Formats: sequence, structure tokens, C-alpha cells
Amino acid sequence: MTLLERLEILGVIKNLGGGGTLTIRPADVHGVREAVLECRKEKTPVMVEVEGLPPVPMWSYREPSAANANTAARVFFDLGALRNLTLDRESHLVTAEAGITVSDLESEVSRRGFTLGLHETPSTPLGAWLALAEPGPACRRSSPGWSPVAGLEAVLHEGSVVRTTVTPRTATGPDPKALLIGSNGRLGVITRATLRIYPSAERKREVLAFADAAVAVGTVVEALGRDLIPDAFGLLDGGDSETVVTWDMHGDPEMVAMVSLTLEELCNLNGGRRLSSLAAGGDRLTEKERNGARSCVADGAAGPVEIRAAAKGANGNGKTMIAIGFGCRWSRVVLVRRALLNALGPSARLHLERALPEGACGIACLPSNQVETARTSIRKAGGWLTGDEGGDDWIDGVAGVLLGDDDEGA
Amino acid sequence: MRVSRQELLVRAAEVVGQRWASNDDVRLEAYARDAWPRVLIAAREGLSPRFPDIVVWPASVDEVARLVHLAREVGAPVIPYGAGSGVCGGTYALRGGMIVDLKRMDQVGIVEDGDRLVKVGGGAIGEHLERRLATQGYTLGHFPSSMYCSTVGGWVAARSAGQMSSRYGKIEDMVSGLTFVDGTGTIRKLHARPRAGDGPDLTQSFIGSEGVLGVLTDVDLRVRRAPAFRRMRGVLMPSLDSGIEAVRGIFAAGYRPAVVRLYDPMDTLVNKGKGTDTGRGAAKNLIQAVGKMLSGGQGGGGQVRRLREATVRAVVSRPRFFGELFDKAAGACMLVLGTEGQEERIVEQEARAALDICLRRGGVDLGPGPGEHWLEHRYSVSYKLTPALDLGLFVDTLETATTWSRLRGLYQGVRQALRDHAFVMAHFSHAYEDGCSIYFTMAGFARDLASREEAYDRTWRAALEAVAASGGTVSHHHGIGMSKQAFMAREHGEGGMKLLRALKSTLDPDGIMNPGKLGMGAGPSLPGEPWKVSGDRRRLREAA
Repeated sequence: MTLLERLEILGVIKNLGGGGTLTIRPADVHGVREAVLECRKEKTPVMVEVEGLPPVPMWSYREPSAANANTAARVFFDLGALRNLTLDRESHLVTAEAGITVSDLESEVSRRGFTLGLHETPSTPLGAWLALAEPGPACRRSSPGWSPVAGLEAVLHEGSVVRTTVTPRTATGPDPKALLIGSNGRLGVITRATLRIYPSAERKREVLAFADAAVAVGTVVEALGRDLIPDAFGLLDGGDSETVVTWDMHGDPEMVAMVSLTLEELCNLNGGRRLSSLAAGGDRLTEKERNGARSCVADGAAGPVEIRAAAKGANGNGKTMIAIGFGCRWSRVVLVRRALLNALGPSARLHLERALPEGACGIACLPSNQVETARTSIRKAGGWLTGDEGGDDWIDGVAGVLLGDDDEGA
Repeated sequence: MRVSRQELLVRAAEVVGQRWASNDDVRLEAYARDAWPRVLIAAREGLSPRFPDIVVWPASVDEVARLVHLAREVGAPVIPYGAGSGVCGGTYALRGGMIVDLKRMDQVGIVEDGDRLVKVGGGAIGEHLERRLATQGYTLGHFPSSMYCSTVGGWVAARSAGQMSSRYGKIEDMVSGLTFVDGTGTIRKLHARPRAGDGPDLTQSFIGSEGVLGVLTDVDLRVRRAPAFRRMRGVLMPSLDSGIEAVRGIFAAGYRPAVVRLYDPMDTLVNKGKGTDTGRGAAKNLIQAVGKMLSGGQGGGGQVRRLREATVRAVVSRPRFFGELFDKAAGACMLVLGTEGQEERIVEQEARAALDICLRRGGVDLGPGPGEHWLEHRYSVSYKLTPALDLGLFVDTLETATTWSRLRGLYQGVRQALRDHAFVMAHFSHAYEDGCSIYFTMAGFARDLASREEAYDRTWRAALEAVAASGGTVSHHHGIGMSKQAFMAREHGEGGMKLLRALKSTLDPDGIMNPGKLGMGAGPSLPGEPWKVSGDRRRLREAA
């Protein structure tokens, strides 16, 4: 019996494509598992299909067994049927299947009075969002070590299921979730996740403006040193105009007010000014913030999502702008900024999106023809670029062992 | 192992120097166990598990790498060792081999104020680290009860939690980067920098590995400025349920008190009831006598002491009868709260708001006394096991955690499962927005060593089965070691274990790193099945 016939029996086939490809749509995790097992028997690579993104290979055949692989064929997994969702109000958790998009999930939880608390809620399916880790589940909320993921379910190459205990914290060895999230689907198909959520009514955003970027960074470092930890954070380098810092908080209104007051005092002390204090209603910056950050990208795009999107294709001062991800310790932020400005001129901008005690991550917006110069400048100034973190050898190794086990088993 | 013990010693001494390598039996005996109560029970009878072949004390990451190369060449297991305070049998030399004690690698770096990171050697003792940080005006915020006898490497290896984790996080929240030597002898650095969000999180894929992936040599830790203000409080909650709701309410409102400890009615009576009306009748006095003994109290003259000991044995050997009796006598629950930080008004606000939440649920404010008493004695409990062992008791602790919605079920499930096996009390600490940890103390009695070991194993099996059935994690911060490894598959699923084993094969292809632990590779599983201390031990006098 052919793979096609076996998948037909499983009832998962959605459509047949050209060149030996076919798309399947399993109804649940068992369907995913069965289909993965069938594909493994044929050594057919599995691709997880995500609308608007290039297909993600679930596994590759770079190992010795590659010679036996059926490399011509491809099976695309469409996880759109996996859309179940359950809310645990008492524990502030939502468990959702991988096919639901992050934006739909945010809508669903907000109807129930909660939020995911993310800067951006893309229309990427949850499973893909976790597999790609871009924009990154671990890069929004600022608490060290914080992750929005409390539990995970995934199907590995040979059909075994990872199903981690849903718990606030654990001490049961290395965290399998940490391997699966961000591994681009190469170890398995994520089928379900339990995410942490927050009461949506209690969010507030402070917006502070500083004439000098170095002072803005210094104020942020001082605030973090005083344990004023934001739930979400942004620093938009205004170039010649003001640098804007956004500081999102949630929790008891009295406590939030107290933190706001302390922040404002610190801001005043450092010669900054408070632009606004408002309930955080979404991704978009207000008019005042936009004015403060208007030169961040040429078309005046509004918030982190828009900046990123606009920077990818916007026409800034006659040049095509693009965004590259970077990170650095606090002590290096000003050096990185200076290095970029020296190398690229005043059109370069930084936007920090995540504040941790030891440093920040963000994007640099710059003319597309100067990317290599920017990369060199950032690294020379002590920063690093998205992708520098490595990990490919670990994932290659783990995937190779799993495939090897499977081959031995066969 | 493909060489003799003596040859291994000679070659290891070439790496670390003769002074820093030993196969002396007295030393080997000291390194043959950690603080796993199951083996301490046997140790009180003069018995010990298998000895390692040698102990070495390297001084640098390069020496560690050379030692691992040597071990790989000769097929000797490598067991990283901190201070031996682990309570799960994580450092047993099940197949002999080389204990790598890291205490010479105890450097503590200078904190850069802007980045607030400090590089610390894996062998630094917790209390030394905190003292060094204090001179620079900082704190790590990590205060396990083993503070005086545990190392930073051990904390990271076992995903440790400190008593103020609700504010500062667990150790995995504090690690920004680390260096380790993997099972091939390769030095691997995971740099200290904020993750840009791309790729898997390798740091979290290593933390908690209990020596099975490599030897941790140094860590970059996030530190905070030492708190300028602190407020401690005790509140008597009318019931466990109201106490749980109060703690959940505090965290749901976004507050993060540094200390949150809710004692169940039994634990309140046993340890925290002094000066408060927390129980009724003669049972209260009986429980407090038990508590005094379980927490190491030895006061009183000869006859009084013997009477108390007999009472404790009688109570602990009939856990169901006395448990039900005490349940009727027990009443309120003590809740200890502590807030701290840099800004006085924020600390005050947090303290006031947390107290208000408790009072709204029927709590009675006891003032700062109970909290300050706890703060003063917070490290005492780790050093009080011996008197209980001398009585023929076994005492151990189980730290589990789950979501708020499952917390009551987990608590009741474990108590129910243990009612025929052990005297049980518990407290709830390490709270989060989505759940909380429960720390059970279990005490049982049997007349001779063999039956004590069997009773111990039965008790643990019942407890862990109940934890798994209730949806809890089998460990919140003690780790897995040998004692819980049979439950790893239920924790992560079959696939999760395959993933972890594949990670081990990647970093330790020859399987020399701490074999037989964490459910990775061949090795004993649950205590007593099939492994027993008595099956693989020898008398100390024979060793000497």
C-alpha cells in the first residue's frame, strides 16, 4: 500500500499538489501522530504549513540515512483543524491547540477578560509561532526567565508524544519545552500549548520622553535597579528628536499607580518628561508617542508591529529600510547606537523591545544596502545579532539521534 | 572502567596535582552519599552505598575538561559534586568512577552596576556568595534552607528554589549564561545575554541536568541591589481553603511578596502554634511533642525525654489513627508574609495590600512577630534530621507544585495516599500567578533497618503515584536524582524522555556523565525496585 493510500485510510488528506506533494489536515493529535508514523515509514519529509510563511521542515535528512530518504515527496501538515481551547480562570491559563492563530487566541481570551500580554499578536498559528520563536514567545515580557508557556504537547519524528506536566515551575531535569520552542519544527510538530494569561482590565502604559538616548537608557537601568519591572517595554530611539520609553504594567491599580509615580519622579530627575499615562489598549502607540518616535521610520509607522513591518519594506528618505534583530547588555546600548550612527549616518534607529536586568533586545532599522556594515558595527560594539545564539549543533545532534534510533528500530 | 583504580588516580593526579586527587577510603566514604534520607537511614546503622573510585578537586575549567577526556578514554563515570546536600541520591557513584568536587572553583566576580551580572564558580557555597555580594551592595535573592551547605553548581544542576522565590524567582530565572564541560570533554559556553527570541533556549535545556549532560564550571547570575526595606507579617487564616484563596488573590492582583508560607493545620499546630489559639485539647499538646521531636528538639531530662520519644514512636507508627485524631483537633492555618525592595512606599503598599487580601478572607493579623521568628530560624530545619533517625524514624520531604485549580486536589490526594504510611504535614510556598508549590513532610517508623527501608519506599511510591494522578509535578526544586526517576516519563511523556535522552546522547555520547540518574540510560529506578542500599553496600569497618 502506498503512503497516499495509507493516509487516505487515515482520512487526513486535504489535497494533492504537484511534484509528489500532498497536504493533509489531521483532526487531532492522534491524527498527527498516525500521519507522522506513516510518513516516517516512507522516510518522507514532513513540512508544517503556515500561511504566509515558508514551510517548516519537521525533520531533515542530513544524516547518513539520507541516502534512503524519499526526498522527492513532501507531506504538508495543515494544523488548521486543531482549534480547541480551554480556559482555567483560577490559574490564569489557557490551553489551546496549535491551529488557532495567536491573534484569534488573544480575541478569545480577551472576550473572557484576559490577555496574553504580548506586544504583538500575529495571525500566525500558535504551533508555528512557538516552533519559529519569531517574534518569539520568550522575548516580550521582561521578567528574567519568564516564558508564556506553562505546558506543551508535541509529536516527535517517530510518533512518540511529548506531553509536559502543566505546572508553574518544575525541577524534573532539563526542560523539553526549551528544546522544542524555537527549533523550527525540526524535532517535532507542536500540537498544543498551555499559555499564561493576565486580567486585561488592569494594564497601564507609561510613556516617557528624553532629549538624549543615553539618558533614556540610564533611566531605564536605574528603574530596573530599583525593581520597577515592566510587563512590557519599549525604547524608540528618536534620532535627532526625543527618545521615547514605554513601560507597561499590570496588576492592582494602587500598586501600578505607585510604580507610575516612582517612574515619573525618576524621569523628572533625569530631565525627561512624561508624555502620557494610559490604559494599554493594544499595539498602537498614541499620537504623542508617534510624534516622539516619528523619525524611527520614515512613514511614521506607529507601534512595534508597525515599525517592524514598515521597516521591512518602507521607503525611508529615499532608501529602502529593513530591520535586523540585535541584543546587547545595558552597558553596551549606547556604544552600539553610536557605532551604528557613525557607520550608517543619522537614518539608523534602534528600537529596544525587551528589557532584562542585564540588557535588552530589539531591532535596528537601517537602509537595506548597509546591513553588513551594521552587523559588523553591532558586533564590534559588543552587541550580537539574532542568530548568533547558536544552537543548531544541539538541534542537529538531537534530531540525528532521534532519527538514528528510529532507523535502528526499523 | 578499563584501568585500575590506582592507575586512574595516578593519571588524574597528573591533571590536578597529587594533593587534589584521592582514593583514600575515608574520603571515598564521605563522597559515597549525599543527603538522601533513604541512605542516611542506612548510614545510621554504619552502612554505606558503593564507593566511587577516586575523588578529584580541579581548580579550573581546563582541568575539568582534561579530567573528562581522561574519564572518556578509560571508560570511567564522572559524577560532578558540589556540597552533597542533595536529597534525591543525585551524586551516587552507582558504577564507581570519578567524583569531581568543584569546591575549589568558588570564585565570585565583581558586579557591573549597569548589567547587574556576576560570574560565579560552580563550587561557590551559597552563603559565601551572598556574603560577597552583600559587600558590593547586591543580593542574588536565592536562599534555600541548605544555604550553608550547598553550591551554586548544585543549585543549577537541580533547579533549586530559595525561600524568597516568589519575588526573586527560582535559580533558572537567575541564570543568564553558563559554562560546562560536556561528556566529550568539550568546553561549551552559553553566553550571558538577553535572548533575542530566536532558536531554542539552550540554557534552559541544560539547567536541571543533574550532571548527566556535563560538569557545570561557572555561571553568570543576575543579581539585584540588596533590599533597603523589608516588612514581615504573620496572619492566622481560619482554614486552609481561605489561606489558599488569600495567597492566590495576592498573586492574581500582581503582587510578589518575597516570602509566602502557608502552613496547613497540622504544620501550624506542630511548628507554628506558639502563643496562638491554633488547636484544641490534649491532641494539641501531643502534636507539639511530635513536632518538637521531628524538628530536632531534644530538651528535657532522661525520663521526660524517653517518655517523649516513646510517644513520638507511638504516634508515627499509627499514622491513620493519629492523623484523623489530629485533624479533628487542628484548626487555623499560619500564613507568613514578607515583602521587601528598594522603594519604601512600594514595599509598604505591597505589605498593606497583601494583608488586606488576607483580612478580607477572615485572617487575623498577628503582627510582625511570626514573620520575624521565621526569618531568624529559616535555615535551622536542614540540620535536624539526626535525632529523628536515632529514634528509628524515617523523615523526608516531598516538594511538588501544580496550578491553582488543581492545588487542593493535589494536597488531599497525597494526604489520602499517605494516611496508612506516614505522619504528614505540609506547607504551601513558592507561589506564582498560575499555581503554587506544596512541601510535604512525611515521617514513619519501623523497628529494623530492612523494614524501615521498605516502609520508606512504600511511602514514596504512594506519594509520587498520588502526585502524578493529581496532575502535579514530582519535583518543584529538589530535583530527580535516583529517588524519582521512575516518574520522569509521566512528567514529560514518552516523547519528552526520548528528547532528553537524545540530548544526552548528543552531549555525552559514551554515557559517562553521572550514569543511572534522571531516568536517562540504564540504572536503578524507584528506590527498592530493583535497587536497594542493602544490595550494594559494605560495612564501613570493612572499608576502613
